[in-house]
Amino acid sequence: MQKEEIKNNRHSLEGKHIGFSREEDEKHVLEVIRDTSIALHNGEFKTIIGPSGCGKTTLLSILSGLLKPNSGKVLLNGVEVSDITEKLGLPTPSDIGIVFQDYGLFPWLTVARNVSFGLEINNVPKDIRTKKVVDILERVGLTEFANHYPHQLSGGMKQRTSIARVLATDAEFLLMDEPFSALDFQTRYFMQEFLLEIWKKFNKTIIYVTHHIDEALMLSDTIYLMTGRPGRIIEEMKIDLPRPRDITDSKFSEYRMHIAKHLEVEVKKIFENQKNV
Amino acid sequence: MKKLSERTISIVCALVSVIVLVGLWEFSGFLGWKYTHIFPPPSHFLRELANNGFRVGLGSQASGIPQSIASSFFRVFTGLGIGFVFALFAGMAISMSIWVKRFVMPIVELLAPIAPIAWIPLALVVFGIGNQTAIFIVFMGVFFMLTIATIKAIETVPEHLLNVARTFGAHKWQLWTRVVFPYILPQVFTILRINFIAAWMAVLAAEMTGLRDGLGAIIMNGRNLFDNNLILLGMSLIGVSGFVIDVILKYIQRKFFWWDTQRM
Repeated sequence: MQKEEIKNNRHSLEGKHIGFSREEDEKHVLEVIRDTSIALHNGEFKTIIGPSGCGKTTLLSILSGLLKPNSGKVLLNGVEVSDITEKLGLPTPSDIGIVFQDYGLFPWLTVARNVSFGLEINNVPKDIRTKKVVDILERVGLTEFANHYPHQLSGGMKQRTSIARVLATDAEFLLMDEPFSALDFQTRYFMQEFLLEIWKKFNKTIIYVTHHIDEALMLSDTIYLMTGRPGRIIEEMKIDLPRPRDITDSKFSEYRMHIAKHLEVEVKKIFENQKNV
Repeated sequence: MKKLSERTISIVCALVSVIVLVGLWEFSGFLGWKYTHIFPPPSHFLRELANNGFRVGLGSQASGIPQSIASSFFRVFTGLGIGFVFALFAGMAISMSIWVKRFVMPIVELLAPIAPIAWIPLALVVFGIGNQTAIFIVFMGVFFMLTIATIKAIETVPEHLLNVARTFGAHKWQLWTRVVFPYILPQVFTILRINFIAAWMAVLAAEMTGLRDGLGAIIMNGRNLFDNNLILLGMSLIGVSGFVIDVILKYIQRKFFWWDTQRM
């Protein structure tokens, strides 16, 4: 019943006035995120960019439901995420999938079993599961690696597997936490193309975290600029460039300059703060 | 010429070394070295054994050598198996709550250093002379160490792997069966292999002090009969059997618990 209602609305994932602090020890409380709002609607590809340690990863964890914010709320299709997870007794709603920087593959499972992990957890019958895994593996170009184990794969292949694993569960929102930052330059480039292809083919909604300017510009519709700690989104940039994008385009360079300046200012602030301490 | 693999070279060297040792032993017997009656070479004790129809012991209590080997193997593997499974569950139960851990861990750590041999007298009183005693001794020899190893291993399970499972909707029980246990099994099994030697010695000691069969009992028989052939036979069999069990355990590790979570 409720699911029907949700289907009729426009799908969205929103963070409203999120604030988050972490207790470092008895006396110190570290403010990680301050009053940050973010909204994601279906089919969008948005990126968060900011200096390292600014709380990007924390913000993703909050959006996914893994972490609870101290203030503000997260809404999935207008319903509070904590309500959904409490009702289901699950840490994250099944509409949300996360891709981690360090792949998070299980070393004791083959590529195929890793991909079917989410389906197995949710007791999807075996015949449906197998069919689905075969289909996904083919669509992401991993068919011939189905029976390999993670340690036999290159970094790019590992991340492909972990993306395939999220795709297999039909989660609509993909939260990606610097998924390609451990890859070398060449692989990273191919993986970006791969991700854009996936995004279109599977009609997903993606929120992507990176500190890599060109990557953000290659991929996203919108880029959120985040400050150093306490992290706050201070600007929402619409990237108005046709795809496939061209790094040598003059407008691309303008965007790049703008983001670089922002990062420079923020990093400088971090250094000055450290000096004062 | 094809280059020999490292493995082949190791096996050949090991064989050569063993053959040379046994050869020297035999040669000293052949020369009529004065300690030959204390250290009878294999040709002596094997001949003796063949004359007795491969049976050890007196009259109706005599038992076949294969049966002795089988009883010792059965005791060790049953004890190790039960110890392994119980330790996994005990480790899990203790890790479930920080309070249980705080109260129970000190007891486990107090009991762990008690040598398994020290449990023999109590076990004989409680279980009598029989397999139960031997299995209990092996169990005590590995259980506490493995429980501690399990708890330590559970602490090393990376949060991000648990988070992956959580985001796919894993319940608490699924986190244990799908992530924690697979993650720790190779580590705990390695500790089992290391502790096997202690368990093996314990079972032999139990067989020497109380039980009437098994490899340890062969040596005891030899002592009681002043038959050094039997003693040397028993010692050789123990050496070879221990080696074979270690090979079996290594095989199990390679076959079932091969993944290296330290290098992911």
